[in-house]
Amino acid sequence: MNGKQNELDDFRKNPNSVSAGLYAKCRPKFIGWGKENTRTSAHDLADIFQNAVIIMMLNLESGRLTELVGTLCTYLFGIGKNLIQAFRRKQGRIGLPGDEAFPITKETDLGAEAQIIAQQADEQLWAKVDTLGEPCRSLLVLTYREGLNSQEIADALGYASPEVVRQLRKRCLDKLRK
Amino acid sequence: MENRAEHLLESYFSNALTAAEAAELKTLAATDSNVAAELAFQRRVATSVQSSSLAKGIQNTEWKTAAQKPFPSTAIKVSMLPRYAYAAAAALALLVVAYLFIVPPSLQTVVAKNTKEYPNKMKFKSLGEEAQSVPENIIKAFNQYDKHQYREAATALQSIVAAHTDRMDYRFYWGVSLVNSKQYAEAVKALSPLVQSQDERKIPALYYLGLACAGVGDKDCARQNLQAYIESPEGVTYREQAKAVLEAL
Repeated sequence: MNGKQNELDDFRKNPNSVSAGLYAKCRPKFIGWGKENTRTSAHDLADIFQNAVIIMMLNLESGRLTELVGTLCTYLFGIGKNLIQAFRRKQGRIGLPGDEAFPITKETDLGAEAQIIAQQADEQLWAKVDTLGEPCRSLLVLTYREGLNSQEIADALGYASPEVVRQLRKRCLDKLRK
Repeated sequence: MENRAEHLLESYFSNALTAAEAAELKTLAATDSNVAAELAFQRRVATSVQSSSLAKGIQNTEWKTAAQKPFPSTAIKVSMLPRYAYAAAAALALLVVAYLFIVPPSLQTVVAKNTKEYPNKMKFKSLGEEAQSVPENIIKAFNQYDKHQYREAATALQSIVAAHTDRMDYRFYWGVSLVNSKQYAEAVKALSPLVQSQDERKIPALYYLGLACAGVGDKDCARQNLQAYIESPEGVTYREQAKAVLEAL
């Protein structure tokens, strides 16, 4: 068994210790690299690194991650780079009418009662998303909250291709429509 | 639905639309009811997941804990024990001296010291149109926020929030401006609705509301909100500051 496989085994045996090591050694490297190469703030890079660690754990738990090509830190860098790309696109997004970036006007204002009904429907949908389970939950969070495209999600979650991600997302959305 | 519409929708939600594609999607949504319905549905899904946490998907409890915060290694080599013992004794002696001779800082001083800025993440971009779609007073208020003129920003945002009661984002920045300008009582009122909502800014709002409560001396409120922030998987950025204020309570 090689050293890289040992890192995953070490994590399974002692997740707190390995996680602490990642935050102590890998995170500063990631933040330093990110600040220099992408002009993203340390504040945001720390959040992104946290998400990369979580995604790594989700992949390990689901069985999508079974062996490392490089080190665990390198693996996190790979996920983190995709998250940074998506984050920077979010900063410069072009929206559509109805987006949060567009203030509500007389024409778009739903009115109080319709807003309450819409809010209740959204809360029900939110509860449904929560009960979907993995991988739908993560897939939808990465798509709609983090703004990753299908290729980036395939890279981050270890799927074979962006088309696989699209098909899976479609199935997850169909479950929500019911 | 045709592949083109699906491609545009994916680009929209991954924030990769060009100006021409945005115009194309806008037209498609206006002329094809299926596209409009799909866009509306996916927008609702997008709104629903804003408060979701990736970490919640981790099933293993121990892993979920490891994901929340880095635990320091507790392994101490036996040969290092005497050094740690001496260091601990010296630290204890220093603490006693400090306690006897140095007046501990007031709670408000601790709050002020641990109040960190929140970056302005508001986006005011129109869809290729020349006229500003955002009122001038709002732009001005956020310019003041960007320049850290928090007292002025708080005053400006107060009327903006009053005119846009459904806008939690305006309310959030109003609350942060109030905390940064030490108007803690007003900040409590401003931020309280946010922590009860599912807005995406709920987690940082817990931190700022905790600070505001500490600033007015409401320790129960401060503890409740700062603890909730620390326990949240997303409560990373201000964790050290939140802990520092909690210890001072």
